[in-house]
Amino acid sequence: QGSDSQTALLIHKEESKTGQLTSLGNELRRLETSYEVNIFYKSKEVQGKQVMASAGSQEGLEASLSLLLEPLNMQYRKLTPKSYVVFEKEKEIIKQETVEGTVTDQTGETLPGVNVLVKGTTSGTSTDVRGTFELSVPSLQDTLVFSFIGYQTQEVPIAGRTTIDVALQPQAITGEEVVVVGYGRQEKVSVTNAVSSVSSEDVSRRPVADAQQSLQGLSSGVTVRDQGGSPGDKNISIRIRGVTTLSNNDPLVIVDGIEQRFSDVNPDDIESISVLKDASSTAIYGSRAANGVVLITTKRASSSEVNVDYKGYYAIQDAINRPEHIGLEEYFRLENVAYQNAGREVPYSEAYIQEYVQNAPSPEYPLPFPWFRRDDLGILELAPQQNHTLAVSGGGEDIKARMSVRYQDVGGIVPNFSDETKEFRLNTDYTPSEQLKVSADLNYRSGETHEPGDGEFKVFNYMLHATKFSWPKYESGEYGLGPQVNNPLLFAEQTGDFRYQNDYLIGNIKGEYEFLPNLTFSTRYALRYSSTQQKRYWARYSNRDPLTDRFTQRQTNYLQEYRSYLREYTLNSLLEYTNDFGKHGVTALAGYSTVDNRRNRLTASRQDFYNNQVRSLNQGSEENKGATGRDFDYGLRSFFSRFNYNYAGKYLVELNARYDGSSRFSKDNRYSFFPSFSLGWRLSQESFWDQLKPYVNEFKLRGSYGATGNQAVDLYTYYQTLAAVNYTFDGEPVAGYAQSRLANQNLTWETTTQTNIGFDMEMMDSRLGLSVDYYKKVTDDILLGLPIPRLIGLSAPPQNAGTVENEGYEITIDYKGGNEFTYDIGLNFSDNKNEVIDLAGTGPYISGSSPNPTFITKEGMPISSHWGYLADGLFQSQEEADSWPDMAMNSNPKPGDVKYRDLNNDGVVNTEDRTDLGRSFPRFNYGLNMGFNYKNFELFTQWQGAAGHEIMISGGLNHQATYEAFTHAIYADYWTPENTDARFPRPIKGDTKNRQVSNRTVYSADYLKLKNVTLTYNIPTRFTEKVSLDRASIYIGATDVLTFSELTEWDLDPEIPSGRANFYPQVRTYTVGVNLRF
Amino acid sequence: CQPDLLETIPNDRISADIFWQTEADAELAANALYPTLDGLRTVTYDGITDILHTNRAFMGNYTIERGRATADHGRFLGEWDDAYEAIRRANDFMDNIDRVESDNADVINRLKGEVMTIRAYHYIKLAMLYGDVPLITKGIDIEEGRNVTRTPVDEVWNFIASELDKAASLLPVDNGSRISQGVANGLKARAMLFAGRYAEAAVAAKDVMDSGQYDLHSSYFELFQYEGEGNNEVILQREYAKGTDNHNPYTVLAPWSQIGGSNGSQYVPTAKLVDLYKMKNGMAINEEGSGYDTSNPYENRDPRLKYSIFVDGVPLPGGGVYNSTPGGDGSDPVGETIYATTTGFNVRKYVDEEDYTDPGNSGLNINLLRYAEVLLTYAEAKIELNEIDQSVYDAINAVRQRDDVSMPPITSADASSQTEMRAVVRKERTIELAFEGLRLFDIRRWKIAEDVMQGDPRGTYYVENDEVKQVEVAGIDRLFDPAKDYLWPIPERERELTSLSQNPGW
Repeated sequence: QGSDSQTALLIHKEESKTGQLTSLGNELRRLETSYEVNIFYKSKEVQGKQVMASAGSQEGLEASLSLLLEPLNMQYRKLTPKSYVVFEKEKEIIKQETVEGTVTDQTGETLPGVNVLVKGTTSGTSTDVRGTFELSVPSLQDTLVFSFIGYQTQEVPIAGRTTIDVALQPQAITGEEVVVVGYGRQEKVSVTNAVSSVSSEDVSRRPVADAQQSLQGLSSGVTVRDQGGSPGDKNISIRIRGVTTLSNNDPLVIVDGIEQRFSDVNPDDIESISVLKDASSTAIYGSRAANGVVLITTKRASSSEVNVDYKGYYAIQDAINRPEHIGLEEYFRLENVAYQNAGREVPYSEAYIQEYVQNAPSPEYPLPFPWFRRDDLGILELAPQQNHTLAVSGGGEDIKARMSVRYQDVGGIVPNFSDETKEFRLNTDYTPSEQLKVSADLNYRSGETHEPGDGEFKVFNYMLHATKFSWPKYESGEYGLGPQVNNPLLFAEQTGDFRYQNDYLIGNIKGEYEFLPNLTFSTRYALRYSSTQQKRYWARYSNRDPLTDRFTQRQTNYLQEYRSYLREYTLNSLLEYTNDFGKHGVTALAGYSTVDNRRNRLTASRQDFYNNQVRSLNQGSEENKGATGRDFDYGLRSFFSRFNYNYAGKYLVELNARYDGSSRFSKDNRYSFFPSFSLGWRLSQESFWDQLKPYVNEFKLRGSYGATGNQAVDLYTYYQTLAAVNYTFDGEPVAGYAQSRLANQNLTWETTTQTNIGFDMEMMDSRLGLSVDYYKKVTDDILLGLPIPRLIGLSAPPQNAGTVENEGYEITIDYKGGNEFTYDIGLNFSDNKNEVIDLAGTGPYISGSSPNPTFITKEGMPISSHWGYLADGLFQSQEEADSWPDMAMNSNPKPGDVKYRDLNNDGVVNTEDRTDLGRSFPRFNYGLNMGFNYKNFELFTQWQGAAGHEIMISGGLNHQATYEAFTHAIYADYWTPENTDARFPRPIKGDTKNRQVSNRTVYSADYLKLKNVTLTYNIPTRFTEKVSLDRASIYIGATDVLTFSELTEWDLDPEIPSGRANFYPQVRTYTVGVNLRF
Repeated sequence: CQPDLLETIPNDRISADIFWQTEADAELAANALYPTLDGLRTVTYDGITDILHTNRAFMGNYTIERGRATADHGRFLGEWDDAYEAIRRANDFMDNIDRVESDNADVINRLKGEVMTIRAYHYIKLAMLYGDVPLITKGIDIEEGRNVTRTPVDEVWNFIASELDKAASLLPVDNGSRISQGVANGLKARAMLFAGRYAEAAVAAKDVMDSGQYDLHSSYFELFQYEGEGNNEVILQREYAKGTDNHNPYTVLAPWSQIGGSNGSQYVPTAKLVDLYKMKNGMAINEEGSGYDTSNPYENRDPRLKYSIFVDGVPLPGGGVYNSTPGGDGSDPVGETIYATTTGFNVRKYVDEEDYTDPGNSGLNINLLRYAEVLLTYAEAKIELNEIDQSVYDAINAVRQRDDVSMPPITSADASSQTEMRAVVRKERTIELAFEGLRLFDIRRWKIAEDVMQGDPRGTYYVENDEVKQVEVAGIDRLFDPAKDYLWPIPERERELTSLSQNPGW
């Protein structure tokens, strides 16, 4: 302290000798001056209080304060070194009686952290780690209130007892539930939109590698297609209420207020997921919302108690589907018949077949396609997977934080596939004052994925194609090479390495200031950074099959490095007003947002490295080196607002609007306006409902209407630009420039208009809940690459033309019941009908051609429907074949050939006769989640399925031995003069005429899967407390346990896309895990 | 709040507004025409003729070869699309070139000449493939595009002739690797031959011959190898460069045994062509006393056979020799797999040993016009005009007698009548220019397609149990309907968007 305060102290001592009475206020002000501090107090607590002047003149400020305040039953607290607050001591409860007890849940498990309050007062305590509490009460006639998140609050009259044990019942579907909505939260009862919410408990019930998988089967109106994929590269798509457009149909995913990818979140960090489905809930996201919005909120520290949670599992992955090859002898005979039918010499003599069958499998007599087998010849192995998340949360009144750290490692079922993820997240909250709240979050993830140099396709495609009669691997280390000189195991093990590394960082700061009661301003600024490094090394290799002497090699090794950087700056500012005027409740929100997205990428390559271990660019040859790069920038500027009004909590109105500007469009078309509104009526709040209330305690009607947009158009399409085209003169590269695409200055947004009507009801004291929604959404101005005459010589610009309609309904039912044995059941069902209404006179758009999957997008049909012939079985006689209309694909039909129908009756079967063969996207989706609890055991099962769509299998699985691909066991039943009742036509070598896309090659993809079974044992506290654990549970589980589908007979997963089935297969995992809380 | 947040200016392309100002712009725009020149596509044209078979049943070309394609076939649209894309580039150039301010008229004229020549190159192709086609000579918009009509093919040939004359007058005689006067004249010779305007063809060919710029390269083999690049015979080529502007002739053409995986042998020569190569002594193989040995059929033949085609005994890029005997243990047994040759032959032109080590990354140039063709065009035109003089024999014999071919000359004793000479020049042309993309147009203009494009192709000869056998490629059963197949159809897709008429029979 400086000499000034010393002086002040001396002066004060002089004055204090007078011993007069003075006001407390004066004395505090004098101390402020003397000690150069601020002293805060409530004036009504200080007014009129007198103190002895001398009492405030002790040595030191704090001694003075004590002497001044003690007689007045007041106290002080030091806020900062330079500020104090003075206040009246609370009136202490007279410690008459003490009550103690234990709080448990319905299973008898003790509950720590339960709040215990004396009713009508603020005094109370919470249970300790053993679930016990001890509380002083003014009187044993008081009532205690027990409350705990997730449980029903219970009031227990003490009634003279001193020991009170309470068992809390879990909360049924509760009216007070809060739902995350766009830029805010709403009480569920007041939500007037179609919003599904999923809690962290639901998300964490199924251990998954990718957060997107956890949403599957949990929410109505949401189609999650999990098409498997190699570790780290899950092919998962999410569609909300169907397919709305011909381009990008991915929903907008917002994590903690910032647009991110769903897979960028640790499933263990998720607090809640809200799926916004109708226009009224999504319109506030305007031009990005046409495909629905998924809002993810991550966990934050909720109480000041410090919690340490560990969640971890270890799993074994196993390929579910292993297509079974036809038996060896049958295979040779089938081949012979196929050659014979093609008019060619029969390749295998009876003696050869017998010799082969007796000696196979052996290196001299390899099996045709052994790759999927479970024995040593197969190449699909069991692979481990593990995931660990450690989270610590807690803090004080002013600062709270939650940090989590995660490690995930997913092995590959084929060598050289793997994925590793490490990440941490820190979510912090500061409360500097009652008005100001600040939060700062940081998430960093580092991922590394590996696959063989030649990639996934090479390995899995060649398990079904072009590897006939290849011995997998000799003991000497060489790989077997069949006539086509390929080997999938060689491709997996010898072709090098592809390394994909991603560093993902998002920082997010939010400030919230309540500068007037009910009026809050908040602003959030986020910086998102993603850096991707890919290094694909195509190794030099050579392999000679020692038995066949066939040889394959890659003489030149080659390295390609790829870098891609994303920087995105997002600013969201909101002004929110909430107030109640009597029975009128009002909430208003106005916001401003900008997104500034910048990406660039770079590739560089060289070849001819000294050996396969040298993998650094500058070690490659100076010859044939390459470098390319691209830049992409876009910006989005938006103004938006929402207004909610309710009258007595009964009549609810919501209005939304967003005004979006995007750099993707020319100045004249840059901004667009997306309005919406919704209405709700809680009939159950009306007096006429009173008689119904015992049966239906909550009933709300909802309706909404509004517009959202889709800006999914390539960048810079409205510019008339010239792009580089390069050429070489005499080995010297030269540049050239040419226009390649017509520019469309008039390009604008796609607009989706959606109507939604629904109701929510809760029955049996909210133990049974039911929600039903009907919707119709129409997407107009769909950006179509409308074909233009090719003789114009430029490619077509996207034009706003098409219209697509989606109509459907959704039902969600929840039930919680039981007493000692309790259970919860959640059922959801949705139906979505998709139809292309208008393609502006163009189309139909047909992609693909027979015998490959062929899809059509045509007015009056669902988007991308299967397209092909109708077939009527097989010809049984030459007369029948001769009298059939001429078939373009089969000019010389024979008995055993497929009868393709002449649908337009023009006497010829050609491409004009193709017809609708069904949807490629499911019409129905359903999920059933059931949890059962008994004592310390919990059993969770999740069923999920989809229906109303088809899948086309092409390639080897379709060939029926016409080429040299995998021949499925199912093809044993083929037509011969002796087997005329056959399921499959006569095989013909080198001819696909009987393999056209038709109702014979398109299969129903309807399925029902038991996606997950988990059995959890909650370890009783009496054991856990010995090792200082608050809670502990251990579980075992399995995924994709059962599948009911027509594709099962093909050994295929029903979720795979149409095509050659040459993908990394779906895996089943067997999991052991623990959840611990310290 | 950045004012320019929504004004993202692309920096990886340039705005059309700022272009067309300098001479450099003109050159850049002209350069963009060169990549439109055909590369390996030339080989695929032959793959739908009698001399080369499309070896993959699932390739689109196979359907065309069999004569069973319909108007919606992808290749019919693809060729059309590519040609008109190139023509658009040329039209944009011609529409804008006068905006460029330059004192150097020579440069501008030269560039115009280059662009006009390449545009004519594409129209020649369109006229040969489709007959009457829309003759579009300026950049058009969508509305104009919907309303264009087909121009009679004679008018298209007129346009080609006058354009190439104009171009020849603008172009220098020597223009490095770029389009020179010789290209314009050489293409005109080709075009007029196709059009049946033989006098004009002969004159244009003579212009090239008299220019003194071109000569036959001493080695026929080298013409299709890296070794021979930069020779004096090639008048126009599509250039490639490893790494930056590469392509994959090796992957497409090499024998299956010479490239890993399911590659190579996409187009395989037929016995029809192989049998056409004469004996080294100038006699046809079936002529009495030719010395043809049925058990050793590929020895003592016109050397161009082994330069152009892998037949038994030809050395392979990876070492060893080619052998395709079915069921044998040679390099490429017929029937070993569907990817192996079905005829027992493989294309050797453009299969360079150097590409063996890095097959997908070839920088081998593809010849589009060489002096040998000009000589044969001259000869054929003169024969069709029935002006058979010594210059005709000289032209044909020059081609036959380059150093590494050295076949006996054709003399008037061998052939003298127009009919005889017609047969000589056609045979010579088929052999000399095999797989260079002219056979399709030749069998069309000679009107022989209905004879040669029938039934199943045949393949190599081999000995089994002391018996000479020939490979048969079963189940192709080619059809050719002369009422329809001499022209490709206007692509169905294009007709849906315009009111273009269709060719007869489609």
